[in-house]
Amino acid sequence: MSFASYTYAVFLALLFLAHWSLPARMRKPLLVVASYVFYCSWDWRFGFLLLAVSVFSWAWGLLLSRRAGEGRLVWIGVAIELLPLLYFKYTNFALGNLAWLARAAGGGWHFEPWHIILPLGVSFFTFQGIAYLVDVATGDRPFTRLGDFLLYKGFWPQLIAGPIIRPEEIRDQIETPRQVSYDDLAEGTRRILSGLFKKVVVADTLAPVVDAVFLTNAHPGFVDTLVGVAGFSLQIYCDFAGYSEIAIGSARLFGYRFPENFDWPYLARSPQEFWNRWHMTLSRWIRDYVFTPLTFAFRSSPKVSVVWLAVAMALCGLWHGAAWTFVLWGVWHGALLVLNQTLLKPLFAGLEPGKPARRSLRSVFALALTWSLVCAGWLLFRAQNLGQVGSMARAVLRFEGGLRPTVLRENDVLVVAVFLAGLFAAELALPAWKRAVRAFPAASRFGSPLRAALVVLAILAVVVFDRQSQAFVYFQF
Amino acid sequence: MHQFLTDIVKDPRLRAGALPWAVVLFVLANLAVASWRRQLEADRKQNLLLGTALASGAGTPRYDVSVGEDTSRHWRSIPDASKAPLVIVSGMSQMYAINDAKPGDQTIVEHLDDELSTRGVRAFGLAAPNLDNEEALLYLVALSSSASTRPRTFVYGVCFDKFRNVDIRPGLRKLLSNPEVAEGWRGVCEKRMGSFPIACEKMRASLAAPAADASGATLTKEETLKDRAERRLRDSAGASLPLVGARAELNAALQTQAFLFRNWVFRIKPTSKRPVIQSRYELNKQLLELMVSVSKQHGMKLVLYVIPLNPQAENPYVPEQYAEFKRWVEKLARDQGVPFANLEGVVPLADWGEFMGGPDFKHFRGPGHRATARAILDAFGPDLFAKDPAVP
Repeated sequence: MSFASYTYAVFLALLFLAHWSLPARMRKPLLVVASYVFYCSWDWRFGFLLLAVSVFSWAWGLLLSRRAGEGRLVWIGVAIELLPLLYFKYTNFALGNLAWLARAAGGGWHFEPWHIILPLGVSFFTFQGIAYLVDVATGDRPFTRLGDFLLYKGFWPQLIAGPIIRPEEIRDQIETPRQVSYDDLAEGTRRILSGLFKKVVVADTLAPVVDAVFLTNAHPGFVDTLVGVAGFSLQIYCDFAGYSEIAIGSARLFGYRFPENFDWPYLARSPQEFWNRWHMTLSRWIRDYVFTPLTFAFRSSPKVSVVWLAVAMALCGLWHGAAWTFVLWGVWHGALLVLNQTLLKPLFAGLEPGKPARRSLRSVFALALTWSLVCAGWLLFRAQNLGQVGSMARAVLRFEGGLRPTVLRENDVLVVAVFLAGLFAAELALPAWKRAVRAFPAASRFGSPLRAALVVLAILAVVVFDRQSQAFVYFQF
Repeated sequence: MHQFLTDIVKDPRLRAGALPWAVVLFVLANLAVASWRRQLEADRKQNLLLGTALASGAGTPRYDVSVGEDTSRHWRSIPDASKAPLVIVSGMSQMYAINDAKPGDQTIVEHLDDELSTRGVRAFGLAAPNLDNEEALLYLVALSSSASTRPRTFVYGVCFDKFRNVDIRPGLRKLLSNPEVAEGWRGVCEKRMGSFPIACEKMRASLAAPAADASGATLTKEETLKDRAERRLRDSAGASLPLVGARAELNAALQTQAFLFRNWVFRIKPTSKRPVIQSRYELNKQLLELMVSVSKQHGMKLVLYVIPLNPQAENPYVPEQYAEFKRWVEKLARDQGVPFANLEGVVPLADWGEFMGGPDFKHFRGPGHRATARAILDAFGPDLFAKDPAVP
């Protein structure tokens, strides 16, 4: 059941009415059952995997809370949590690389990839499980009721692609009865509509343009590569941020508040700020469960902490996909973060949100540079292999094809340009509008009709652009 | 109803905020669409160059009258190839668009069917506006997936500017929802990856892309429960809300405006010279070569012709590139033993019409369809109605 389907709209509406009509004690069981129905609508077999992993995490968490200080138990728990992810996502990658090494060493191992279906959301619920075990081992209170834990781990809005929620962010919400207000309803529906707009109108429209450029045999030229990469930067942002917004909005309808996952990432004035705005729940997870433990373990050598930053980001890349292009994407961002702290520090210093220098020419340059560096990373992320990365980078450096596209039509270039201009205009216009309302309160009188017009336009756009109920790009992460 | 919901209903902001405005605007938008629907449908027909063509589709259609938008629904109208030899005629809008249509005018394939059916052979048209080679290949693979639709001859009108187009559009992509068609498609890209790497990679990407919806499964297989539920929900929403019901028309209107905007931005006119887009051109060349290969594999006779063009109208082709294209198609046909004809000049000057205020360079009046059908019969007659034509 895709978020962008009519089935999901009906599922959500019926569940909302049933949830708030039932006595409080029956609401959580209803949400657990609904979450498993939602998950099993893709492949019922993996419902058992989710249940098994959840029961294990819950039981191991209780064990850890009773036997505090036994570090070995944490490691065993984390290793077991990782097993499904390693098997389903990385088996073929590992064996393929071993076969390559064997061939390079003169062996004759021909490896045919195994037919392994990747369970949806396995990367997300594995990270969530690890966070839970580590937090409990370091003193957090575990969930004592299995039902509460099943809801924490399996709550459908966040199950497939996050946000990655840590126990402390939702435990109290699960353990205390929820309420819903007019504000929750208004904010929830607004976020769902905003998410649908990003997904259906922007991301799905850009998908064929980007796909055409990234076919391995397409041989894109200078213009194609730039437009393709810029288009992908928008596509992945709107796809993933749209999904997150629908998740946040759906949860809000049931009285749950999820952490934000995106905060206008392309307005970032430095790579570090980018990661404070992009997939924020993952950034925090990587920082707290990979980078910080590594630097703490090697605290006697503080100078090598930059190395751990690169390692953490490489692992982050590998988590996104089982391919060397993803690892390189992580390394690229690791390197950018290291440069952000060292060589490029003077350029990015003092440009944090709220600082006066934020409105300077240097700030505009930093924004353009950060977006360009992030886009260079997207080339690594979207390319099908390293050879394609090389050929597309060459096409840009050698100005191949000049200003005449060799893959795209004028329409495609125009679509990307319009959406890109629209995104940056929206990013700049929204804060300006808020400032205007603060400075001239009379302007807020136009707020309601304006918001209503935007809502109806968004509904119209979603209906008109909705050609299909596509799977979200991020599903496989 | 729980107290929370009651409280929300009683909240004064519900009546004083943006919601009442939104409801009013939404109702107005629906009313507006309902009142414009007929005009939107007419605009869309015009946009698809359907004209009065649909009218001649009354009764059992002899070509896909959805012009590619709902091909799977028209699949049932294809004459049973296991009972009588079948000729499929495929190509772009020239196949069905009739300028200044008059009652009794027929399309190329209807003229062909009239002629061939007297010899026990049936003809059926599978055409769509701007049909590209990947879509034509999909027709070929889909037809070959069943004995009842596998044609003896597949006539394909090759059009130079369609070598700028790639991809399979949503309506046609439904065909790939059929498991047998998908299997055939996968088989083609797996077996021929070595010889046609560009085309096969594109085919693989098309297979991986999600279908518009799964109703293509109704070709021969049952829809899944999920697919059926989703389709029914969409149909129900469309029946109750004009905005949803007219979404295809609204989408077409939007695309038309986008097309005009693009033309304005890039100063493109119908006569502006449009050079080939190299990568797309190479891809389409390989896809046409694949069509030759696939038709041979399934024992179907592929017939190629270069479509008629209006010599009075300036066309958007770069002359050297167009000449090179014609040489290439002819050589491909010669090398592969594929019957080929250049029908560029077969439509008399008087039989063309007008488009966007100037002479139409590609679509003609009713007599032009008759003349093209006659030229196809003259050029390929034995391949169309011979009892058992030799497949090279």
